[in-house]
Amino acid sequence: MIIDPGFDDLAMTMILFAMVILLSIREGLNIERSLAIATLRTVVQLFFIGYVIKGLFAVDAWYIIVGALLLMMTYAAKAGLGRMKKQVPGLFLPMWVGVVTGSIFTIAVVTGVTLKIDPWYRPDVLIPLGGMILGNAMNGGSIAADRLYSEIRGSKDQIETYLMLGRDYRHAAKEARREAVRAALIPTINAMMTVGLVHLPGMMVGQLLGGVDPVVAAKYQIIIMLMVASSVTVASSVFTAMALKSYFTKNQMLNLKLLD
Amino acid sequence: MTPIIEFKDVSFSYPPDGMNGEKVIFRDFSLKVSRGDRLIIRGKSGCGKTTLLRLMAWLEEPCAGAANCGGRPYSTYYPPDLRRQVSLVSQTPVMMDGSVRSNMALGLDEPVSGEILLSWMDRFDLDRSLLERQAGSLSVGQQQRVAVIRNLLLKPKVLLLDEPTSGLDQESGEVFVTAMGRICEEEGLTLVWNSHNASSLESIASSTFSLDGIVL
Ligand SMILES: Nc1ncnc2c1ncn2[C@@H]1O[C@H](COP(=O)(O)OP(=O)(O)O)[C@@H](O)[C@H]1O
Ligand SMILES: [Mg+2]
Repeated sequence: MIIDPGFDDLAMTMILFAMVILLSIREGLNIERSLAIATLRTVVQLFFIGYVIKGLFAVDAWYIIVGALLLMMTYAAKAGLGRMKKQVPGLFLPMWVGVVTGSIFTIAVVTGVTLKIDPWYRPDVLIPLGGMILGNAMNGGSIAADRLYSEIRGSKDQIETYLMLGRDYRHAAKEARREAVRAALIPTINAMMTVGLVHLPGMMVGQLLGGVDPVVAAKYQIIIMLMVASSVTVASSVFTAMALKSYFTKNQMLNLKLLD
Repeated sequence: MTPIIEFKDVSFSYPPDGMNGEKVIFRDFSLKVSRGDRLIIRGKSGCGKTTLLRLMAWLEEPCAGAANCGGRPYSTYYPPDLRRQVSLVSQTPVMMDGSVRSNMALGLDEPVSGEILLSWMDRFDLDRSLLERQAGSLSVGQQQRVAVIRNLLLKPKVLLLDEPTSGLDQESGEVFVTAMGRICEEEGLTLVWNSHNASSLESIASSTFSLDGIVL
């Protein structure tokens, strides 16, 4: 029994919004404006994406589905880099390839081997899974990007020492890369440790509210958690492998200008 | 005979992206190092000694001019190959997490026998018991010698030392100079050694070169 709230019911949820605004005024938090904008954006963005996905669900052409996913990944790559504390040129392609390979590899395994969907491009599976997975790949990539920068910056002397010993730049920055991938994975591992105990993931809540059998919802959540781990690992490994080059000149010297 | 390293009309400035950079260090600078030389580079602090060694080790790129190694332009080498032949030991030794043994092997692909490491340690008057110690726990002077051994294990043609005795007291400085002189003799090594006070090095130098007055 799915409860589908009507638009009028949804409007009543604004009681929560009103309460938050009242509290903010009373406590002098001075964030009413941001709260109002954030609420408006939430409503507009989610309705927008809801209708877009509804449209996509009706599509029966693989190239439109794949095209939509690639577009989402491109946007995710851009957003992931935009979040970096320090902008480094030349990282878009590594981030794009990282997010795309991390997402596609993971989605292909799950839809092909686990769920065996038919046709392979079934939009009602690919679009939601894709959206969730590439968001995680992007998060992983962006944590890896920040960490790679700070690791390389913090170990300039070690890296130069390796270079002086005739090691190539990949070897010299191996440790920095390893730390970046580890850092990207830590939030995922933590989430996997506590999932179901401390909190119910949003997807599972959504499924339960949507009337899905709790054990089925649990199965899906297991698949999702493993997909997140795999997409983050692949995305951050591929990203860091390709990004290292940006920190060196063509003659394999550290590009110190980037690290000031 | 072709010099092992030859700089012809080399220019360099910081930041290293063209002669309109902020700070010119070398302009039309020329220098030859011949095989077997033991060259001391003198000059006061800040005159460009470290920069010169970094250029020789191809850790910096000249803005103009020609840099050759064994008659071949640097640009024809794969940078790691060149750096194994023209091997730089930085002024402050950098030890990685791990034992002295693992630090000495950082540049090597093949494992190296403890006997070889110990014989190098003997030559530099390093106590044999240090081999398995955490490298970071050694004194600066000891680390400096570990760093030199680490580079020597790569069998470089030229060893570049950037003020290796600056962290040492006078006595250990002299021990190091003597050891280096003997090793150059025995291994037929070419040595370029930076120092802002070269007096203690005169005993092993075959020539000295002063940067004072050359540098802008
Ligand atoms: N990375 C750098 N960026 C800008 N200036 C630098 C840099 N490294 C060295 N310099 C400047 O270049 C000059 C020469 O430095 P250096 O070669 O280290 O001299 P020395 O080793 O003789 O003391 C100094 O004035 C120094 O401040
Ligand atoms: Mg110096």
